[in-house]
Amino acid sequence: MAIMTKAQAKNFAEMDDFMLELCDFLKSKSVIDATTHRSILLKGFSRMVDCLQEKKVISAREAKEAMDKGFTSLVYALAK
Amino acid sequence: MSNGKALVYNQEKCTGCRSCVVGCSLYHDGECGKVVSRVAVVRNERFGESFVVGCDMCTDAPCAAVCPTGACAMDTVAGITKINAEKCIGCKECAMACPFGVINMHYKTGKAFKCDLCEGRDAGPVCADWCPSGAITYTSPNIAFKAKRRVKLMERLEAVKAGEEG
Amino acid sequence: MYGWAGQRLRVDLSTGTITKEPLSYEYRRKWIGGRGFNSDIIYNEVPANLDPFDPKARVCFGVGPVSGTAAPSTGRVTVTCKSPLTGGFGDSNMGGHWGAELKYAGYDQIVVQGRAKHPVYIWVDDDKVEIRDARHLWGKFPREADQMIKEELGDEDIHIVLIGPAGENMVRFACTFNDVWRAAGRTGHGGVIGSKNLKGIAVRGSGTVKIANPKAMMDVCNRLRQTFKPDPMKIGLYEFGSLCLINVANRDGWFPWRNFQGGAHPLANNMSGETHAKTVLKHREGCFACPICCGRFTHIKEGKWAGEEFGGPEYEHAVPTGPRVGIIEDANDIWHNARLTNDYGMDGIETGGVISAAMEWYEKGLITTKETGGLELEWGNAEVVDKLIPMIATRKGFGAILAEGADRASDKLGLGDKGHYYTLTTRGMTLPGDDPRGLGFGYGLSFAMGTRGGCDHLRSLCCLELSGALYPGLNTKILGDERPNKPVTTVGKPYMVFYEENQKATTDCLQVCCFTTHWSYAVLTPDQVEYLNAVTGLDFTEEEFQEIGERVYNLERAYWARQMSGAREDVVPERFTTEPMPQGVDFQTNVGVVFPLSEMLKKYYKYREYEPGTGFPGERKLKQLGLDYVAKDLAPLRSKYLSESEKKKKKYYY
Repeated sequence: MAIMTKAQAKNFAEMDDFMLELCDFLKSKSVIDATTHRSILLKGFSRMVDCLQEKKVISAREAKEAMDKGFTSLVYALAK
Repeated sequence: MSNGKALVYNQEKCTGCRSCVVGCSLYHDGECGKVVSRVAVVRNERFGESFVVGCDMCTDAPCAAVCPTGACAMDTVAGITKINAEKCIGCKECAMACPFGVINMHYKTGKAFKCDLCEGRDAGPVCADWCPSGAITYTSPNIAFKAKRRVKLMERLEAVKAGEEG
Repeated sequence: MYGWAGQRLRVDLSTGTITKEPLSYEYRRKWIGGRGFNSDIIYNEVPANLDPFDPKARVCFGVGPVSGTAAPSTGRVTVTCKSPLTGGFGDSNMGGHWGAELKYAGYDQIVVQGRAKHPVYIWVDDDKVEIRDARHLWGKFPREADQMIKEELGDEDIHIVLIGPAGENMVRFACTFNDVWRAAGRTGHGGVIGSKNLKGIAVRGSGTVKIANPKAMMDVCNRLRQTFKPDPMKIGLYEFGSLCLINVANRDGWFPWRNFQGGAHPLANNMSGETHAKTVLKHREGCFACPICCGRFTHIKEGKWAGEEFGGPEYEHAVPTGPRVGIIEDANDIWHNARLTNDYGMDGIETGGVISAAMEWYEKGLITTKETGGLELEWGNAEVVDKLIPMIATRKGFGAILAEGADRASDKLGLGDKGHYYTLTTRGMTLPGDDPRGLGFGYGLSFAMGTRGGCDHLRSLCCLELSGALYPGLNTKILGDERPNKPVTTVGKPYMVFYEENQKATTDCLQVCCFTTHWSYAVLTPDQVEYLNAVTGLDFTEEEFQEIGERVYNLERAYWARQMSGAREDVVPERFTTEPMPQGVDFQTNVGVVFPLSEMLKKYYKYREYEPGTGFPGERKLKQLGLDYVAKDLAPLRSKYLSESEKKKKKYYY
């Protein structure tokens, strides 16, 4: 499910420290609520991936790839 | 030691961490503490010295010999004496007879309790399994002693080479 | 009760009153234990304007619900007070076995307040607590007093917390030990304990820790201990102690040479863990329930110090009165100096810090032998360091000035801002033997933002940028990116430090050793939640676990805010942000690097929700964490911090 443009994905992929910005973005798109936003920041990246998979924003395969390859793979999956 | 294995202690390796003590107490009593452990660690912290005191699995065990009720008796399959709590009358004779001070009286029951090689544990005694330094091993004594002879011999030969012995 | 003992012991040495205060479920759920309990007491009971040596000051010893259990490394204790060195929040952490014994005696925490009329020690024998005469122990090294107390009480198996002569003399960076050698080194609580006329606390505990779900506990503890067996950090630390880091430090340019003028030296290997193991290692030692056993016991065999022996040293204990003061040629001098700071009971890090500052003042001509009383403070002068350490501990001559800590010493000597440039402190405390231009930019950020006086590696211990590389995929799992697993990059560091600080804080509340969760990553947060729940029978989640760390961290930050310490003081010593790292060895990896703090600071503030202008914890965050009373305390102080009069003050200490 595309929730961002390819240009936005490229912007995220080039960030040095992306967690806060990406969480804020997901909240602004109502993909996650405030509680989940907080939960992700406390638990880390794996929580973000799990959450996006639960909500079917990304597939199981995309989730696995995100855990293998990191956030750049994730943001491009969110731009598909 | 009928299945060929015994608890063999390498005192010079003991770090005093008490992983054995805390693992033993958890496994047997479901709570953690020195007072319910069947193995003890004695330390002289000033000198950095640590020693593990565990059952030596005597073949001619004084603890069994002195027991008036047969509560403490040799399990010939495991090769270690075990205490049957139901038969134990808490007379403390076994605790006093043990040359190493390994047996204690349980704070809940007043009865004697001792090492039973973690009866029922597939991976064998917790103390040997968890010991981080190899101070406690559960192994064939003959193989352990052979290895020790070799190590000690090499140390002595090194010392001779270094000109320290005569 | 599962896990916790359920009560704190409060001892008032002025009145001799001993009270046992029950700890409610809500309190234990909110703060967990250890550092959490301690920080709460210090925030509530030791106000900003109190002199740390005042009898009304408190010193706390805290352990947690898993202390004394079979989880990996559960013997640790946090010691907390208002620091005489910085004047702000201070704590330290020690290993050994005293913490487990305190739990077995039936207490989660001891709070000491007041001042005894003459030297005393406290004897905690399960539920029997006595205050006993210690006049015969005053002046003794911890190893002597330990033996005397054991003989007096007729039990060689008890565990004792002790201070040395430095604590008795209220040296501002005196420390405390348990089991003779296991130090809680930093922030000077040894002096607070000494100011109360307290020599130590002996404990005997015949109880046990009750476990809610023994089978689940056995499963997780067994699984973790099997994981440790092939763990690369465990193997390195067991074999060579924390001194296993020396050659890595040298290669990556964080080896502290001459007050951090340099980051590498050709002779560093003289003091490496490998060399130590071959020459002076007598025993490897382990703290309670530890699968790693990184402890050392050293016996010097040759040279003028032959025959000396002591527990330790750690990396951080050996380098400050070694290469930091220019000593590297004869490692026995380094081991001997570590023995001295142990016996006299002073933080090795701060001792080396203050001597190396003085040596740099001497080098730069800011002081001469006139000020030093004839001592020639040349780099590497082992003879002078050997003389100076006891002088500091006993406050004699030039030692009396240095005993005040480097920044106060600089002021006493009238050296102005120039003197402060060389003290290498943040909020009044110096950094350990880790140069941020090499150890890592994460560490550097941690130094500026640490809540016990900056310059502190142990507030985050963000080893994801160091040993993290030994655990493929770990950085990705937590941070979403493998790139941060290198030290000299800013990539991903703000989030890394935020995560690791929270993690470390909760680890300090459970009270387990952070070497199991940082350095080694054999234990991860979900594992800790698993054993915490198995012990307590409760239902902590990973989020709650991290949130507790966040809560404790914000409380400590607020303690500083109350003392008008905030954004302007979030700095690291200028040496690191302005002087490029020189070359020390040809294989050094960080030549030319300066530490770019400002790039990361703003982002980190956002994660913490610190107020941009003041750097104070944000009101929304404080309320979210159940710290409404803290928000109330800080409300009138925010504008005060931003006032012109406040801005003009140069605060090197408080």
